[in-house]
Amino acid sequence: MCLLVAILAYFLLILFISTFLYPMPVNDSGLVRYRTIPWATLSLIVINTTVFVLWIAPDLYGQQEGSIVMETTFEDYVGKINTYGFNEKVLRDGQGIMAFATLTSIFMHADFWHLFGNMVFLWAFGRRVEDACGSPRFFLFYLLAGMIANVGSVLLNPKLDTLPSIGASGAISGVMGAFLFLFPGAWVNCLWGVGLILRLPYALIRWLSAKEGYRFWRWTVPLPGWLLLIWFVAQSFLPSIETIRSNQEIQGVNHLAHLAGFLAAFTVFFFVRKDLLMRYLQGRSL
Amino acid sequence: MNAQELFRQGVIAIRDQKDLARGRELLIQSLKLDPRNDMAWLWLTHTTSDPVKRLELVERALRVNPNNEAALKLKARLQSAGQPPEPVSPPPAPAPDASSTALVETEQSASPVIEEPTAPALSASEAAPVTPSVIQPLKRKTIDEPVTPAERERIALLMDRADAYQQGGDIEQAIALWVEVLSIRVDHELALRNAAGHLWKLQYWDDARELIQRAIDAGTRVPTVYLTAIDMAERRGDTAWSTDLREKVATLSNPDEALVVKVADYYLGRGDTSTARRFLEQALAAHPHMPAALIKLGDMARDAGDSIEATRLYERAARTKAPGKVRKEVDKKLRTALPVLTDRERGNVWLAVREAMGVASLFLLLGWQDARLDLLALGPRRWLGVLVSLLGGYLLVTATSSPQQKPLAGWLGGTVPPPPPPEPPRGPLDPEPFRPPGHALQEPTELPLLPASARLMLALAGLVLLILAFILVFSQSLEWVGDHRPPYLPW
Repeated sequence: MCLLVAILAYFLLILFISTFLYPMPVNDSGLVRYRTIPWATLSLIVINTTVFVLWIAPDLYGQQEGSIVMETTFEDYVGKINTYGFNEKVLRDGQGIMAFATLTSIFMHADFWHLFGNMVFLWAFGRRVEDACGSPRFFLFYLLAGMIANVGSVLLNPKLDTLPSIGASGAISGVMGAFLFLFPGAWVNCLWGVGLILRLPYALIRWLSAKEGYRFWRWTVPLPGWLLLIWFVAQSFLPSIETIRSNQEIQGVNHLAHLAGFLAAFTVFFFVRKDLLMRYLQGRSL
Repeated sequence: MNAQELFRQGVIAIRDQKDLARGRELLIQSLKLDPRNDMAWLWLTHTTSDPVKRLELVERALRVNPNNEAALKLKARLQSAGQPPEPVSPPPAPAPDASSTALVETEQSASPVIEEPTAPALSASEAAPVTPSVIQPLKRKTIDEPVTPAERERIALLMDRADAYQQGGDIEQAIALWVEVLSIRVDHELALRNAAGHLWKLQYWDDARELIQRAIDAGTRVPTVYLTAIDMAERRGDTAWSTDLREKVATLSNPDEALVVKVADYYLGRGDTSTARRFLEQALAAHPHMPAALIKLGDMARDAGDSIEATRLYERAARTKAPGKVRKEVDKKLRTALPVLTDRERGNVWLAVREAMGVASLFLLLGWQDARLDLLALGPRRWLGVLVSLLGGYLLVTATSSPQQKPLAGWLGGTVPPPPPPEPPRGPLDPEPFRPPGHALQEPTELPLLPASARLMLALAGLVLLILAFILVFSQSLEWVGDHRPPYLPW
């Protein structure tokens, strides 16, 4: 019990600190047009979480038999990542499961925070993109964006990459890019520590001057979607340039995959509902 | 005192009491109330010795009733003599008890509408000077005929003079001048508004109407003319005229959207929603591409609680290529509404092919990776797989989201689905009917729809083709995945 409380407290602390560094999108403040239940987005979250909890987490956080202290079954964990992650060398040399890895890697995550961050972004941006596409088409778009991100990171990087790459972030980057294309004027509610502090004096003045019914405190801060996404692209762009320039293998966060996934957002126009596409082409908001 | 009684008293004053000034005053008052009394115009000839004025008054009487024998005789004598003769004695003065009968006969014999001139209010003191300008026939100037510089100068002069008269309280003289302006430019907005407005106030309803109607008949495009006319018709309870006016506005060859909306607003302001709606529908039937009218009708539907119909109308407005401001307005209204699917999207083959291309691009990417990221090594097998995926995707799309493509749906035995039954009217507080999520509002369709059996077959065929395509593009990976060895660990 104490362990659970400690884990939860740790989680909240990290979340609190991280929201100071970067606004964490929670949801889109706009209304969805078709008012659909985001089945595909929810399913993807469930699939990713299930894969991690049932397949990766036991190896990553599991306790080896006979040992007193907690330690990871690192070899199994690395083996899975190496086998099912997307690896340029493996692909080009024809090893492992070859091109199947492009599909499996999209549903794998390295650790809890990797999964958590991706799923939060998927929920925040995917819900409305899915509404504009419809669930089956959104699912196809998600897969396509993920694969383009994988392939793009390989093509953009001149160095042969021997390290495996896993995670849904390439596909989710595509979803975020699609969100930017389709809803450039949307506002996104974010958890953002800096924003909350900045908003305090303003909220206080509003509270004092408001006659009644003003909500003094909100946990989320609405931010323009384009601002968040441009910032995201900028964050990916500079390290990507550095990776290409230095001719090094990609280590840590695969920014090239993020960038390629974001560019894959153009393919969303294959999947947007036809009436919405016509609206979009007429210059109307979706 | 009514017009008949004033007329009777005026005749008595002239004939029996020889009080010409009082008689003229009474007759003029009578004519203010009823300018179509030709006998009153004729009796007025007794009150002046000026032959020109007498002739003008006789002509006025004849315009009202061309068969007035006494007036015809007097006119003939005035013209032949060349000098002022004694006026012909009008018919015997109406006896107090017989006057009403005589007047009724006069009214019946008069034409229902004054043909040429209008009759502005005449004051007792200025009756004679005003009358000539008033009874002068208007020049028929068409709307399209441009006003010459000389005419423009004349209009400006007349308007200035009319203003001066109006400020001096001499409305009758001002009216005469405005009417003269209208003889130059039949729909001069300010002159028409002032003249008709004052005539209306003086209860010269028919003359006010005559001025307005003349501008309308000439095809004016000045919105206020129509609005004034409709207002007059409604205030007078002249349903036939107001209906005729609405029809004219609705079917103008070069429609003025702002006017259409203003007319609708006028009826809305009077609380007559049904007339406003009918009028807008009539206007939209004649000119379907009027975004402002569509928005207005949509607003009315929304206010009536029919958000679905409102959405459809807004959507129609948005598709009319409206100017930026209107487009933004309607876009804002539609931002939270359900999208509307029309035959333009349903029947478009390329929109369906586009979705199939999305599916095919997924397969192309799979094939490319299966070929170890070497495009040249894709080989005919994988390319065939991509083509098969394109076809399979198209069949699947046709079966699911695009079953009304032209002319495919017709070839495959599709029929035009019957229109959905009309929804029962709902009040503003009634809840909206349940609509399944994920579906656009369906506009009535004229396109054939693939039968369910054909759709099922297409869907199955599409799925089979996609599975086949997957096998084709992923051939190498499929071989490897069955017996794969863990890749070499780089560390």
